[in-house]
Amino acid sequence: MEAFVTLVVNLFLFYLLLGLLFALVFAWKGAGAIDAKAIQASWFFKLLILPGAMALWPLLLTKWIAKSKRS
Amino acid sequence: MILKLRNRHRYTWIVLGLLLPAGFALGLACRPGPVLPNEELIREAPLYSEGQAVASAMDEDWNITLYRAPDGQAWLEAQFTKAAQRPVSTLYLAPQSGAVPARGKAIGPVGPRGIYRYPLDSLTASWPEYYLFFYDQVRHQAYSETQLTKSR
Amino acid sequence: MSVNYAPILWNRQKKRYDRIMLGLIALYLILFAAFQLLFRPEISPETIIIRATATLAFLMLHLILMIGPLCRLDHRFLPLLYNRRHLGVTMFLIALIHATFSIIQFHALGDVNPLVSVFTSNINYQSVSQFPFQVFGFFALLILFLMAATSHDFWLDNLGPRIWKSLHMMVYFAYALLVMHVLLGVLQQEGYPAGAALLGVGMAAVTGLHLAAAIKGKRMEDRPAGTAADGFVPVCRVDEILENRAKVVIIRQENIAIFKYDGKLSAVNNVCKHQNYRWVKARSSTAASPAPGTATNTGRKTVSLRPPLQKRSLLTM
Repeated sequence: MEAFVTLVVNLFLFYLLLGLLFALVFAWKGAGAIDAKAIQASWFFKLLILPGAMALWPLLLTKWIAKSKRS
Repeated sequence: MILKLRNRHRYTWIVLGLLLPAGFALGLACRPGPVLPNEELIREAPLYSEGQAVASAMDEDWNITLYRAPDGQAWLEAQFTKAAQRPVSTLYLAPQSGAVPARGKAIGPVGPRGIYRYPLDSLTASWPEYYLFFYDQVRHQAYSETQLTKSR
Repeated sequence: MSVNYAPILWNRQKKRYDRIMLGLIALYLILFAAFQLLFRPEISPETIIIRATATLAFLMLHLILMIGPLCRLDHRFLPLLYNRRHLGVTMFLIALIHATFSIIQFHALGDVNPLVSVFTSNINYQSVSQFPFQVFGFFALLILFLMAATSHDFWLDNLGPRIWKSLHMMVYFAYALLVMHVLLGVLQQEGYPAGAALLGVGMAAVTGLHLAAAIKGKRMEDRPAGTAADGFVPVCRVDEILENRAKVVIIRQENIAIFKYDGKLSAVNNVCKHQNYRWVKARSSTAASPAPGTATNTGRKTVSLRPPLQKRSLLTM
């Protein structure tokens, strides 16, 4: 039980860690790439979208890749 | 709202309207009866002055002594030197080791720092041996089992 | 629509809303701490914080959940809806404080990872009264986090209305989880019936309002509009709409608002952006046109609508 929970919790934390790394890049580059209105956004806006990008990074990564392929 | 969303809200609340009261009733029905003496009762317990220490135990955070008075009254005096690290805990006394709440007697809730007196019935006070342990009500776990050493 | 996203689109009303909200929150926290210290002077500061933030966040969640149906039942509650977003994010932050302090106080003392300890410190998963209620709180907080994190319009635009709305409708699931968190947690240890009674009242209010709003909505949907002529459906008389106000009507189960301003009528689906709005076409005509229930030749005009169209339509009366 404990070993299983430890594994799941560690996977969860690993997912969030990858998310954090992605979110930092996304807030500065990706947000503008998938949405023109985010290109000249302030640093506070970037900070605000950081937690969401950290949590939903696989979704945003797909969108970002799809967008860069189209252009 | 558009129709699809309205319907989704509607079905969600029909389901929740049934499930929430059911869960509420189940949760209340399964509540354990009051096993602990009220905190107020402990505070208001009379101050016994002529007690004789029968047995005691000590730990880094607490110092617990069982007293008996000539008139047969008995009580447990606990001095907590630090605020309890597990705030929702109960103090138990048991006639044998093992720290099983069902085989012991719930004495009372563990308070923050200070001296507490928990009244004991005479039957409990005349056990041949005393083991005390704490029971964490949040984690449902016994901890810090210690045998009281009899005074000579 | 602005060219760039602003972090927060402030205006006077929102600032006022937030000031009142923060004022009430501070008042609640002060009163709660004062009462706790008065009746249990030995209580530790951590315990006060855990209890105060728990009760406050749960109370706020009840308010947040009641705002939607209240507005559908009575339009006078609409000002509350205006900045519900900030109310929601604030509620999440308060719940986060509760979770952080609880995990430190109850789960961070052993050598086990505190997050693992939330799930394994008590493994009575088959019991009701001893169920590890912390698990309910954990998952509810996860949902509230996702909602708070995606509150900005950026997320609505880039996740799409369908995903965004689905994500935010999970609040109902979070609410159910939190009811169980409270019920199997603090209420199992408390001997007094007051807590259970309060929870019962809150649950009844939230559920009752949602069901009442659903019944009202269903009634409006079922009310037949006039018969359609060349695609236009007569819905009401022009003088039923006050100047600079709107009237909400439902045709073909679509919620539509008709506005009157500057001597003009304008109709639009009465939904927010996150609910997939579409413009509809509107026209007004004299009552002589087929409009059941309207007297002919009274000079009154009838508003007719033809849904849905992609463009907003304006018309003169």
